[in-house]
Amino acid sequence: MSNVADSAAAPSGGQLASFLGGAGPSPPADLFLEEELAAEVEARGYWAGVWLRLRRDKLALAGGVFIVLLFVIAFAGAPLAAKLLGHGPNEPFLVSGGLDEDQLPAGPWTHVGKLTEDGELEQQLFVLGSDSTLARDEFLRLLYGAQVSLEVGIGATCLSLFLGTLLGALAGFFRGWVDTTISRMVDLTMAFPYLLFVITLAGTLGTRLNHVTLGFLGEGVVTLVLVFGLLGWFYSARVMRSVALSIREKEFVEAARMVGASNWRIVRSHVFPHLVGPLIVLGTLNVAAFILAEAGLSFLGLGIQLPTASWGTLLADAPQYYTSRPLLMVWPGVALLLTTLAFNLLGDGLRDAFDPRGSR
Amino acid sequence: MNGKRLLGIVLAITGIALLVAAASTAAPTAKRGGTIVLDISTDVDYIDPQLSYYGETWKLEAATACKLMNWQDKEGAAGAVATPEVSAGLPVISRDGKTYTFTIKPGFRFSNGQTVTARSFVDAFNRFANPRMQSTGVQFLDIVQGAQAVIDGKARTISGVRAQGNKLVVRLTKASPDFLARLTMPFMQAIDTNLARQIDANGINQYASCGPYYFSSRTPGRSITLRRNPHYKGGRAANADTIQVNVGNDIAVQFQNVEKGTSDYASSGIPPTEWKNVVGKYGLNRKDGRVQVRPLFDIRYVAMNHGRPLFRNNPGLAKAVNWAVDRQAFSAQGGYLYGKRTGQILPPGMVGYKPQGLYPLKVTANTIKQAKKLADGNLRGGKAVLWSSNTGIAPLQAQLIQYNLKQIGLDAEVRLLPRAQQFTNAGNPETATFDMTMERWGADYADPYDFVNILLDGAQVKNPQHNNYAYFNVAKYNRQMTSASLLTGPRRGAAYAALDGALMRENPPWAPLVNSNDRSFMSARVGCITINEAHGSGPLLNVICLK
Repeated sequence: MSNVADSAAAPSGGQLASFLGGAGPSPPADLFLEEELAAEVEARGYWAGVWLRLRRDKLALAGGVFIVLLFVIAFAGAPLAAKLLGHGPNEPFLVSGGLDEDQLPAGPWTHVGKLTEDGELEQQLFVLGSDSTLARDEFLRLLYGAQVSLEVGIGATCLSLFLGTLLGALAGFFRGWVDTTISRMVDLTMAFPYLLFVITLAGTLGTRLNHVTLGFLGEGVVTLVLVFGLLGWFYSARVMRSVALSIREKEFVEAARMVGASNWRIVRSHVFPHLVGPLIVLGTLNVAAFILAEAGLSFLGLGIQLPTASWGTLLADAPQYYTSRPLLMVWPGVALLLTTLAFNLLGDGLRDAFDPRGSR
Repeated sequence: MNGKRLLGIVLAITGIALLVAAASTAAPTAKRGGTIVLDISTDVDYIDPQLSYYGETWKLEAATACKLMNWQDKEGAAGAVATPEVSAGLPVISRDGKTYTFTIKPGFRFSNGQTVTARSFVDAFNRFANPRMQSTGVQFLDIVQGAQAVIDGKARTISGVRAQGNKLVVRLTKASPDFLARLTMPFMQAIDTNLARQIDANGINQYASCGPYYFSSRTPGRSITLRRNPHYKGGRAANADTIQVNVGNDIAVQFQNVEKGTSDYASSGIPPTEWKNVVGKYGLNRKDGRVQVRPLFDIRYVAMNHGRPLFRNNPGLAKAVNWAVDRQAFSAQGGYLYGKRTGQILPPGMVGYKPQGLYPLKVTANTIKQAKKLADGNLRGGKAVLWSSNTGIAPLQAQLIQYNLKQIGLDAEVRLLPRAQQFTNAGNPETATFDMTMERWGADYADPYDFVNILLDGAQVKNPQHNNYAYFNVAKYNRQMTSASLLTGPRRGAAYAALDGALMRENPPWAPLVNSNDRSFMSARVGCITINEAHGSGPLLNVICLK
């Protein structure tokens, strides 16, 4: 009795969720003892259980909230801020106020002058000061940089997960020569000198690919998405292969096979749905890794094209002013830190939430 | 020896000692010995005398080379006159101005003990012209009789350069008033017989030289070491025992090294934002002071490729670019005392320099309006490819130019390249796929020919490697350049001044931006600082000493 009451009030993850979701270990028999009480228990599905467990992880939730806010700020806030402030992220303010009397980037909360067509100086605000001696708005560049970071992170994650899941699931499910071929491809990709590939791509195909923006992406985003996606799928492929290997031996797969389901149907209806959990976890962790990789490549001058702002390019410019304007390293650094932390916390939380045996 | 006599001797010795001490305090002399340490951020191209064409290498070669004519180790006007070094006096010049006869001064020896002879210079000319060396400077041999045949692989030696005993006879194809100045370039320094035999387009990293120092070792990408030439008796200073060049430190690290005293000279400069601080802290241009700034014979410009559709026969757009570029902001990227804004080809102080005042040095609402007006109807699709170096402040400057061009409706795509790749590809007609490229030119020698003819003569543009990055080839101006190069005295200056004005007014090949300064930052332990811009930027390395 008390077991049931406790579980209903605050489900402890494992047993109740597994029972309600219909997967995992069988429920304890005493749950069926009292029909009246059983009727009061709200039936929850698999996803409800996941959500229930995730809700209890405050750090993961904080990470999730931060990510949602980041999306809003990057894609809605940045253009709004540009409109309110009256200038764009690539506009230099060298005529008046963008640089101080020592010719250094203006500090936070500085009013700068914009030369109008009439020759007048129109006062505008730099919230975080100038980004460099080019005197562009650091605040706006940080916001627009978030767009680029998220575009690269999510684009590359989608591509790498798509390739990794497809190939991993096929390798794990079919085994044999399919598995051997895909596994060797994984080995080959893992051994590939990726920085060398990026440098080569930047010097050859990159110059053309950089122009592909699909009407809304920053210049260079597509190049990075392709590079990260094509060279970053191996990890997810390995994970998905191991998951598929265990699923193919499950009773429900055997049952499906017995009733005459085709391989494709089994993969589509029984294998892929079980990969969703690990996929989401991997996705959140990959986004963080790709955002960091974008910053690293842009820092090396191989990533996003000038003058598009990204957190990496902001970090690359900042060391020139490390003694005089150290905050220029802090802003993009903190943004990068918080974003990767948020994605990692959410990823950890999701991993625990998707694991019905987890107890926290 | 009695007591009085002993006391007298002691007093006399003490007196002499005090006098010597006082004298040394009143007039300090250069201290010899020790190791001077330099930092450079990227490696030099070569140290091979017939190949090297980087400012950093020429700075080193100013200490290692002995030449027929050279700049003296003096500051200002005294150092800006080409004077005989290995040549015993000025050469005898034939009436038609085409034959130069030099007499070789005895006493010059290479660091391996070999004697410098007229043959040492003949070898240098022949090695320089040898097509297997693939030297980028061979354009300077265009006036030497028989040089082109060697460059083209049709002859093995230059017919116009002959050794006759201790005489060196050089025959030119035409009278050339700047020939003696050309001889000051390291390409034409004396070389020993060992080096003369080594023909290698990759360059030689260790060789004997006849100046105050020689290159004792080089590890590409890491270090270069110069040691004092033990056989040198040429009269130039050689104060430090060793000059050690460390390669690869970023300018921020170089700055810290010099501040701490672990390095003596930040040869690649310091972060632009630090110049104002160091000037405030150590003062400017004090005698043997740590911060020295001098104007250079130098120009930073945007070359507009007249060989491609955007700028071909499109002076309207070229003028619009000149009105649009924000020279003040461009200069601001370089920090305090970066240079002087300019809108013309020749730098101040150069023969033929005359302020032209054709383009704005500061952007206003009116200048932008004028730029838009000039660009209107001349944009030809409105797309351009702008090349820039990928290091230092160049990417910032490129973004600024990109923004300026956008204001007149020209959408420029910035391509950042390693510096060596940028100018090598820009100077090769097959790889010059740019519409505009951000360039810098420092004088090889102080003569307008080196700016106007070398950078803009259309005869060059088909050469596999040249410096006419604007691919400017207009018959009328080519003729005027050739005529100007044959003149001497005030007429030469007037002709080049007129050319400078006409080019920039009628059909600008470039958007000139800044004549930059030579800014040197040195450690507290160095003295004996002499800067001669004719030799190149920075303090003369053979003269610099430890305090």
